[in-house]
Amino acid sequence: MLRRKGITRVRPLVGGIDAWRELAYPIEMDDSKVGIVVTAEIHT
Amino acid sequence: MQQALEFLLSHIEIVVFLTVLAEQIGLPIPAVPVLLAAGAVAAEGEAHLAVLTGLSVAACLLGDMVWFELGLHRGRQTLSLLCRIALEPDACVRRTENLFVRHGIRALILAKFIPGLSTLAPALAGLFKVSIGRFLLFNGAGSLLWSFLFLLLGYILSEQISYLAEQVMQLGKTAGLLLAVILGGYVLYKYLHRQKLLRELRVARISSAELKQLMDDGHPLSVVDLRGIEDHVADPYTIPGALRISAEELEQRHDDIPRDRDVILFCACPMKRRPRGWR
Repeated sequence: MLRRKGITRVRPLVGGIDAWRELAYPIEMDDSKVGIVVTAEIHT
Repeated sequence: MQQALEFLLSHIEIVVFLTVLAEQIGLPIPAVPVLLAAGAVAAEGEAHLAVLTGLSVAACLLGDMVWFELGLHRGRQTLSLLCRIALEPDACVRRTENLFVRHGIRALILAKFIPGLSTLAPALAGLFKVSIGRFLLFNGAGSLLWSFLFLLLGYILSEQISYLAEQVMQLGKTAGLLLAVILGGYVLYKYLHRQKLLRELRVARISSAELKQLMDDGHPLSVVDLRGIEDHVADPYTIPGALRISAEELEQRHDDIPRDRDVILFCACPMKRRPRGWR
C-alpha cells in the first residue's frame, strides 16, 4: 500500500520493537494519542 | 459438465466434508458455495440438513485441529508456513490479531465468517497456548454456527440455487472453463505478486543493530510505529522519535511519512503478544 502511495524506500524492522528492546536500546514514553504525529526527527 | 454436477450432487455428503476440510486446511477452495448447494439438495429431500451440518463441523474441527497442534508445537514455523500459503498474509495476520485483541477467544467464532482468517485463527490459538477444551468449545461453536447458517441459507434459497445451476449447465463446458480460468488466473496473479513483494522485503529488511547504527550516525530516516491503539494502551513506549501511525490509519495518514528518506516500519511481534481472554 505504501509503495502505491509513493513511499518506496520501506524497510521492515526485523523482530519489531521486541527485538529492539531485547538489545536494551533506548525507548521513550509516547504520551501522544494515536492519530497525532509526535515528531519526524530522530534523537538518540 | 452435467454428469460431473450430477455426480457431485449424488455424493453431496462426501463433497461437503472434503471441500470444508480443504478450505480449513488452507487450500484456495471456497466451501460456502458448496454448503449453499448442499442446503438446496437437502431442501429437495435428497440429503439431511443435520447430517450435512455434522459432517461440515467434523471437517472444520479436523482441519482446525491440525493448525492448532502445529501452532502449539511448532509456533513460529507454523506462522511462516501460513504466510507462504495465504494470498494476503500481512493483512490476514493483522486482521486476525485485531479480532483477538478486541474479542478475546470469542474471535474463534467470528473468524469463521471472515475469509482467510478461519485458517489462521486456530494456529494463533495454538501459538497463544489456549487450552484444548476452550479451543474445542469456541471453535466448535463457530464451526456449528458457520456450517448451519450457510446450509440453512441454501435450504431457504433452494429454488433460486436450482435455477442458477440449470443456467450454468446450459452453458456447459464454456462456463466451467471460464470459471476455472478466472479463478486460476486470480490465484496465480496474487501468488506471483506476493513472491515479488516478499523478495523485495527480504532484501530491504533491517535489524535493530543496523537501525541503531544509522540513528547514531545521524542518517536521515523516519521510523513508523504501526502498532494499534490496544498496543499503545498496553505498552506506551516506542523507539525514540517514531511516528505513531497504526496500520489501519495508513490509508488516511500516509502523507505524514516523508518520501525523501528510508522509512523503517515496525509493529509488535505476534508471537509474544497474548490477547486478553486467552487461557
